[in-house]
Amino acid sequence: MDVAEEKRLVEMIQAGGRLREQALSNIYNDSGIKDKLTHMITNNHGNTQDGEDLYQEAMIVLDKNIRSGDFRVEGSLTSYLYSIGKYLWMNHLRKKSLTLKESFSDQELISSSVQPDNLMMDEQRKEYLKNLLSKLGTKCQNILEMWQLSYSMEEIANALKLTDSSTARKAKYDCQQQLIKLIQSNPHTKNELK
Amino acid sequence: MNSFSLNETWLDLFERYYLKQMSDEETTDFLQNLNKNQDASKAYDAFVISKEVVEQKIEASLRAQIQEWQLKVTDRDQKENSKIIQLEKPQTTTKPVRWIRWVAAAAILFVVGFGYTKYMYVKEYADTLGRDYIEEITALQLRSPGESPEAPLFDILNKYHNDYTSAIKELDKIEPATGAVYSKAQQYIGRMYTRMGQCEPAANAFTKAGVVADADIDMSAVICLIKSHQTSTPMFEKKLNKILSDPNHPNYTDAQKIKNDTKGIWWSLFN
Repeated sequence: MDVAEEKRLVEMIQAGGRLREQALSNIYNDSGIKDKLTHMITNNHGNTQDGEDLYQEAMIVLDKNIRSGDFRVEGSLTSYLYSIGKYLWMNHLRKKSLTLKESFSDQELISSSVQPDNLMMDEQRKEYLKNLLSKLGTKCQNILEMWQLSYSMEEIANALKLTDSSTARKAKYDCQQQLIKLIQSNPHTKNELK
Repeated sequence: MNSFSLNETWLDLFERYYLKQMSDEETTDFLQNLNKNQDASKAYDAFVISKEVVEQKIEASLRAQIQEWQLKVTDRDQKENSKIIQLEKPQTTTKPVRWIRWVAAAAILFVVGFGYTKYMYVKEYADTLGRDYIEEITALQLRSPGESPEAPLFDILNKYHNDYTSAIKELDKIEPATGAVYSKAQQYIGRMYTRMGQCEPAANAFTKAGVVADADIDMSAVICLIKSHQTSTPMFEKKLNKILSDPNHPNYTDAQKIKNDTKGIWWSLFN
């Protein structure tokens, strides 16, 4: 994957919608980076299955960080993905009182704004968020997911079989209000607010 | 304190501030308004959390999508690596006595027959599990309409019984706007596709169903991998282990049984 291609993929993820899906599929199916991560893991107390799992986790973090702007376009996408995987694996090993045999290169540290602590969400918070999500209807989940992924109102209306884009927009507002009310009425929200 | 109502204008402001789409002047105004209004400030805090909640859904959808991509990769690799086993002709130098040949043939038949039966027993899990899915649906047919919010589904299920193709067509007409009913309809569609051995549409339907079909996604993939003879792939192992890692998973016992039986020599020999 050359620099121009990597830049294009990052822009596609930032653009959201179907372009994001396409870009993530291209990255996932690039066996080079996957093999490199698996090699790192098998050299550090893991097996190929761990490599596969870790690659999936790294892809999820990559997607989120690109969309949230934590990844700088000028950096290398593949080095970034590799660094995420390496940090995730380092965290995993730390829990088992094991260490990585290799350290992070300067290049990896520079290319990555990833910090181990930022990658792992507290389990309790995750549970709290999942609980809220489960209380929201499927229709609202889908609308808000598509909205957050920058799908247009026309695309949302088409995908969810709504009459038109203004119906979709109205539904989006209703769902946002519903979710915010759910959050405000949740007894754990006070503790979760930072 | 100013009165506050969480209307579209506020939501638009929250969104634009959150996405850093405001000019400096707009940002100052917005923050001043927020400072003046405690309810608006609390609503913004909840708005930020709502973004994280939706991230959980995005993450779940991406996980399902990645698993679909992985299934395709596994399937492609499987095809590329498939080997043709050539049987060599035995080179007999002496002619064995007739009864020895009969005994040998009977022994081979016995071993092969036993192994094949064992293999079929395990292989039928896929169909049995598929049948269990449908049995749950059939049980629903016995309930009287109006007893549950899923009542609109019963008519369809009653009408089409074992005609999955027509049932899927009708269930797919249920609008996402019906919320939980839509999810359940998609879950049934996924199970029917699984029963029919159509794995990709099954995975799509479970994804559409959302959280209600979380457990189905893994079990459906296991069934599909058994049906397509991919039980020695890392994906199969992964899916099975995922179910086994959660003793409360509805398919935990099935997964344990499958794990034990697919390890056997007969399975490797015939699969």
